[in-house]
Amino acid sequence: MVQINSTIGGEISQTLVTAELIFSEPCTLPESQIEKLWQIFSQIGEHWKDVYNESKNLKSAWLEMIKAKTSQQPSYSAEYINAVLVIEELTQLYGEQQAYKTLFFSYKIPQSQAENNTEKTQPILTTLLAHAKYYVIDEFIRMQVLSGGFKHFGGQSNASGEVIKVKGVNYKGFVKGSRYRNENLARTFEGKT
Amino acid sequence: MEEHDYIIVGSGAAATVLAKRILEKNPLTKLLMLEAGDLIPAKERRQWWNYTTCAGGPLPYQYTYDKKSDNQSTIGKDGQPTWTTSGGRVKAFGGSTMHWGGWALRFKPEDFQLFTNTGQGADWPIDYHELEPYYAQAEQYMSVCGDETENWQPRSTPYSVPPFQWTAADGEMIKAFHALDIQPGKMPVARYRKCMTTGTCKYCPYGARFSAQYVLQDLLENPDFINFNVLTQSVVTKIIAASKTKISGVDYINNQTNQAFSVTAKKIILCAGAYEIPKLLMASTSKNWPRGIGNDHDLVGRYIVTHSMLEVTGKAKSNPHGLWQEYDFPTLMSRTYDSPEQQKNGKLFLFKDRSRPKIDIAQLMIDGMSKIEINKKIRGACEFKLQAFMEEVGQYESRLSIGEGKDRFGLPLTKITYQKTEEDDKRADTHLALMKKIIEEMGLEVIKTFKQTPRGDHTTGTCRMSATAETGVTDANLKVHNVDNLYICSNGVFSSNSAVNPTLTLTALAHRLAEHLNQQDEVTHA
Repeated sequence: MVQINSTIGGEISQTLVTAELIFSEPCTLPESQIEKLWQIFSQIGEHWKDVYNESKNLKSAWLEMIKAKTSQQPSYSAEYINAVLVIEELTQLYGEQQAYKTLFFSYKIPQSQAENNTEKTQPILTTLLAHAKYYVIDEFIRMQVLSGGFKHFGGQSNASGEVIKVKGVNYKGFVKGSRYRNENLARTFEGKT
Repeated sequence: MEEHDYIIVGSGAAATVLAKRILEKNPLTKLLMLEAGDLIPAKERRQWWNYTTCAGGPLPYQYTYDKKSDNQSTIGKDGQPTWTTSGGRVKAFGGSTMHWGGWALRFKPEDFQLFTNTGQGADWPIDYHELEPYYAQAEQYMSVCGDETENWQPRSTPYSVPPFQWTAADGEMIKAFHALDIQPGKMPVARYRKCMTTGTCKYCPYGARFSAQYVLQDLLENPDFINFNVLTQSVVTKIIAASKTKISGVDYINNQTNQAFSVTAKKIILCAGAYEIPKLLMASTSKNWPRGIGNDHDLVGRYIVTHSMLEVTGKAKSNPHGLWQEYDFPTLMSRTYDSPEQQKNGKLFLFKDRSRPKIDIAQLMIDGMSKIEINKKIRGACEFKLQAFMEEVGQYESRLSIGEGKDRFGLPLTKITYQKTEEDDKRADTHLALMKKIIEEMGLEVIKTFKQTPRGDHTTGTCRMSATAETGVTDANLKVHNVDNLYICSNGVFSSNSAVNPTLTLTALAHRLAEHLNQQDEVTHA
């Protein structure tokens, strides 16, 4: 009934659950758990190279997001705990670098046959690995990009495609803020009118 | 039963102006506002994080949109409804200003004299110059950022905030405009100075885009306004006529408890939009009003019209500067074809699509692309889109009426009888040819032209303002003809449409009505 990419992960990663957010009560995650999640977030910066430099400046905003998503319903607490367990299992199996590389660049959430079940007679099933990717990794990526990671793309580039100058670019979700008021809000048209 | 001074039905752009100005004039006014929708918190951090980081970017008010099954419009030749309502309006505290783009454009003087100028449609019983001071007030009230030097129409005051500059992504289209003698303009938008360009205007985390909700919250928190109350989830089902010329109050139902209530007031103002107001008038039948209040001449709900959206998409082989549209609203527009000369053929308001070139870097990362691959993609082929609203003329046969059944708020469903005229189709084709020319002038390959099905967002005309009861529903002061104390303030009162968005004009009308009512109250108190 369900196609599972069985080549990635072990018992935890391949456990089948429904696709909806795993239910949990709102709670405050322990510091150690938050630090493990922060490591996942930082690895996004590492693997997309220059974006990494932004991570260190983003921790307060990132913590605010984690708090917002765990302190009220629907709570992400169980998803965050799950993601840490999945990453730990992948790390044990492949080593840290390969685990992240696989998760970021190779792994695709399997297209469940249940999605074609228009009658919706059965819940859509997926794996805990897919949960970690969809609810945690993907959302961390969006947070990383909107908070400034996008600046490493676009702008002026050299012949090999590397960005060499970024000036006043803006991206969905970016808060320019008063600290950067000397920068333009966005790249503007400088031509004659 | 306690009698209110005013009952306002609806809580959107117009309702808020009226409440604010009436209360500021006399803080002890007993004013009750009834809203069918719920209070959806604005500036809420969790909602904002969901919107920006979750797949699909869910918006907290999305559930209030009309469902497809709520739409009972006529079916066109292609088997699709001829009128789309989904996504057009928000049913919540603050109304559709919760999701509006904030485009705040004045109509032009000729828009108020459509019949005189073209022999089509209707003239307004007021002209541009009469409304001009209220446009100025509306711009100030909503903090409209714009460029008054563009001289699209006469103005007595500058904009309150300078315009947003054209983005680099606007550049090639601006050059094409110049080459074709089209004047480029900066889009006037309602944004406060605190706007920090998050590109998430549909749910701004800081309240930097005008929303009626913020104003209402301020009014409710003001200790001077002790007699002001807003009841949400309260669906007005009937206007009660005490006689042929006097309204005594309204009946409403709490849609959570199904409890029914009656409330009375000296004056009733309907601000529930161009869909709900005509349905409410038609539903309010009595011996004195067998067809519904204000509907003796069978004009309530007629002349429904909006402006069609036209689109032309062009493809560029590469994007060497890695451009993307960096705001969540367009910065480039032109009103060159929104002119007196063009009025006979349907005016055209041109603007660059707010989301192209579209580069979703986060999604490319999620899809597993490396940084080098993403940079290559950003500089590869991309799309630019030119869009336009085309003015259309309201037809007597085009009609909004009460559908069968109710929606999940307890509001009656909407039935719309509407067909585009052949003339409208021909005009659209002519306009699309012009738009294609602009795209080609940019050196792009035209890959798509599109005439969108009329959408409900900018619906006007269902309770036309007119000089006489035989030709419309309200008089020039927005009072229902031949009724002493019932007013309508909605896009529905527009006597004719224009090519631009209606909200600024509605807000100006609300300021004008508030002044009129305050003057009346002064006389009464004296």
